[in-house]
Amino acid sequence: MSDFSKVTPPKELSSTEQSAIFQHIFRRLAASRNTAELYALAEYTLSNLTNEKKSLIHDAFVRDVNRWAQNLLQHAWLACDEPGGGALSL
Amino acid sequence: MLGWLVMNRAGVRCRYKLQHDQNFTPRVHPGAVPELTPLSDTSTVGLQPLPSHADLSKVLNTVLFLNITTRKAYSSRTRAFLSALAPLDESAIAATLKDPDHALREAERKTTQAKQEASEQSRTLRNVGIGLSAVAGGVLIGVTGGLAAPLVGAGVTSILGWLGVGGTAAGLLASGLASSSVVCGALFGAYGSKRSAETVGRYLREVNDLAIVPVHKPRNTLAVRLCVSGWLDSPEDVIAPWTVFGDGEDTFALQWVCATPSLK
Repeated sequence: MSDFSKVTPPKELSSTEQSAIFQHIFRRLAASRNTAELYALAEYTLSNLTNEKKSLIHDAFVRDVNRWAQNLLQHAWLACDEPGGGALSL
Repeated sequence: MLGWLVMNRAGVRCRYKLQHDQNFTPRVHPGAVPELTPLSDTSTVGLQPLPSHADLSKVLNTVLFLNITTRKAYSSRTRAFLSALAPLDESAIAATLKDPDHALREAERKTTQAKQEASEQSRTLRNVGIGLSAVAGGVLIGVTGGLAAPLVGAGVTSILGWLGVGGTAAGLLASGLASSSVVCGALFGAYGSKRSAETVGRYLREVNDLAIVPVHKPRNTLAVRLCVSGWLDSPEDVIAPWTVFGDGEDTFALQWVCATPSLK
């Protein structure tokens, strides 16, 4: 059943709680990003491809992961009422 | 502050990583999203405890809704990351995207009910509510421009105001609702399948028999399960092993060069 209130953040959350959620997401996302990069590094090291080719793949993957993580972080930041930012409080 | 060096065996590339103390907070420029870097703190020790699971889930649903509507895609990476934090309500998001009008009516009904109850207790509160929705309307028109115009004028502003959503998130949510048909097309329907078919056709010109076959009747869930059978004795083996998946996500099977004489 569709209900828009299910996809909006709860009204009752205090700014401290919103900030706590954002902090958790930020740090876990940073860990997730770093892990993905380490796997890419391992793949790069163990690959039999030429340096040029595997470097191309590695860099493209890392770029994509960085873009994904930053994008998701931005949406988390918005959903948590922009902690530390300049959100208009209504 | 602790530091350690991460280096691969060949010593080709290395990274220096810093672990900050527990009170470290990401550097935030006013009005800007903090930037994730390899040096960002990854420890959750000492952070404020998270609120209840229900509240966290709702925030994550918002994050997912914003992510899907702006990117017009739902990556498995996003799903895995957010699901690890708290359960996601994918069906609610899919239902909102498919029928935004109903979603808004339902939200309006709930908020109006809550508002009426509150206004019975305090007449002053009702006057404040009217003021808030007017401000939210101004913000939305400023942020979304023409994109969300059809819905902005139809009371989304006041509903978002009642739901306590403000700032850029309100604009993006309204835009997401306004463009939900495009998102649905990209995720479930014509646009997505056309684009996929074109891409597959380009890469696999010489393959005559390639298809993604639904195992059960698709219900257009946000996430899908794609199964690939191993050894095939008959064409039915493409689907048969995967019929065990009943509820949950839509299940599809990859049919790959089944038109060989040995399988007929």
